[in-house]
Amino acid sequence: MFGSGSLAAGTLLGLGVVVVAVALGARLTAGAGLDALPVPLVVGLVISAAGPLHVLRPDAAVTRAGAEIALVVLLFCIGLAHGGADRRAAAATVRVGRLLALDAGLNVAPGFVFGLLGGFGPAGAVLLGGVTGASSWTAAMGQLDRRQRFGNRETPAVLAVLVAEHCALGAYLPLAAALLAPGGAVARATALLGSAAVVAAAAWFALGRTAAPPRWGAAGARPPHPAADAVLLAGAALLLAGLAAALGVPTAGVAYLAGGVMADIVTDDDLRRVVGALRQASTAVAALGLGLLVPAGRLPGALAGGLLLAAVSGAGKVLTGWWAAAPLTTAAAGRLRAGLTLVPRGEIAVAFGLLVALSAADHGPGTGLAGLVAVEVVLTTAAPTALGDARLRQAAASALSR
Amino acid sequence: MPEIHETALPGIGVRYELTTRRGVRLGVVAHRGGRRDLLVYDADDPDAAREAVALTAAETAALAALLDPAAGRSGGDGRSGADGAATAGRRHPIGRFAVDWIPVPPGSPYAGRTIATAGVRSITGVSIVAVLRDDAAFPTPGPDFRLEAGDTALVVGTPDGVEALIELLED
Repeated sequence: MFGSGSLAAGTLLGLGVVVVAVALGARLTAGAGLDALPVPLVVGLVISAAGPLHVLRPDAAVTRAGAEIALVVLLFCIGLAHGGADRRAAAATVRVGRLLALDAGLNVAPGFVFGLLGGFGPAGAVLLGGVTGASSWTAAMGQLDRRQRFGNRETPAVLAVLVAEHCALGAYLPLAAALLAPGGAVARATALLGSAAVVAAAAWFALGRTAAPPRWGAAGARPPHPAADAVLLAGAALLLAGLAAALGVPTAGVAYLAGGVMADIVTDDDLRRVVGALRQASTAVAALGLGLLVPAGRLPGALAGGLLLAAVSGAGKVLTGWWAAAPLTTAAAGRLRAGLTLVPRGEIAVAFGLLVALSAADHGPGTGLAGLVAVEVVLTTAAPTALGDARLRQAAASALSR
Repeated sequence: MPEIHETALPGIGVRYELTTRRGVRLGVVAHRGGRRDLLVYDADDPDAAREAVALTAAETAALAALLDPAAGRSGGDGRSGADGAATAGRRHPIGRFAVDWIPVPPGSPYAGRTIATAGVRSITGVSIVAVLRDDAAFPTPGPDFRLEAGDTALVVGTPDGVEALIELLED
């Protein structure tokens, strides 16, 4: 369509149209009080599903490279979000051991079982368990902000659950990613052992240290340059990921743990803001990549399964929030609000989905799993808005407290 | 001094709550990065804020100066220290302050009470810089310092605040 020899022009034009579509879609959804998180995902799915729109699809190589870089940066940014103070505050708010047991039973298990029954193999099942297990910090923040719930009594429980899940992910994600390592048994064993070593090192570094960490960008030390600092951090993450890849250790887990270890030194507010923007951008690129990597033929099959999975895993999260908020409030409405805020699966689910999609052959079962993840993310992020209707909430609250 | 209840919000910041003398519950969510949410709770529903107003760091500083012009000068509670905009916004020209010597007369309701329980700062916004007792001087007395009849307090604050403190100490 763009003539021979103008591949770059075609790629750029296509990307331009896609980015504008994502931006406009995000504006529309935000204006309607919805979460903009799944917009790039939906745009990607539509482009890869609708025949005439295939001209907009970037080169497979471009998509893969973009998605892979976005994945590393995204996981690094998610890891950066919570430091030692947040972990301690979370542990003081909620009983972490019980919470994680509950999360495993109510939220990880459905994804795991679904993955096994769907024929995605043990590795696929573990990854799908990660998708359904971890709630979205970004989507929860959006809900709390839009509905002005930061001051609510149940909110500390919601936040504590999210922070605790991020911590647990520090072990789950690297080991799950190792299961996908390409190659034979030796390569897989190397990936698993390497990941386990990285997890242990990060845990020792993050949990064992009690002294105050050095402050990054402390006032007066030197001219503040948050943008350069953020790029430096992202560069460090890419370096570590590259080093890990050279050693046969999956990059995803290393990037995530690198963020977790560095979280305590990033205290400067301006730097945090830039990192937040970087996180949003990488989430969007990763979600778009996930959408583009789901082949059109996989979507109808994923829809029915995704609907069922979203319903089951959504109910699990409502119960998790219902339990976590119990020490803070007796009101059914508050406990239900806590549960509904935890329903959306967002950036972490996208990351797990992208891990599967990138490791899958073009039309292998992995792409079906990616489709399932896409449907799960779209449905669970949309659900709390629909369920946010006050009358519906009241009815559900009275039903639950009975 | 009203009791302020503090709750950690993991990953967000801290929530402070206090109940006014008339029974209205107020809250402030201090976000990392300087944003503040001002909250008013309903008596009927203690779980959710009826009104939540999000304030930027600069708006917070402006509002704090309106509520208590003297508070900004002494640096507040120190939590806003990392927040450059808030500190800068509260600075006042020294010409607007009054410095005064106030005796604590015998029979004053504040004789025998600590500065904190007397609520000098919280009611009038005035700071006691030093206390003179007999021949001794007690510079920068802490909140636990106990005032006694016959003391003379060296105070700094707005003219209105100092007037209010004189009235408080005498009646």
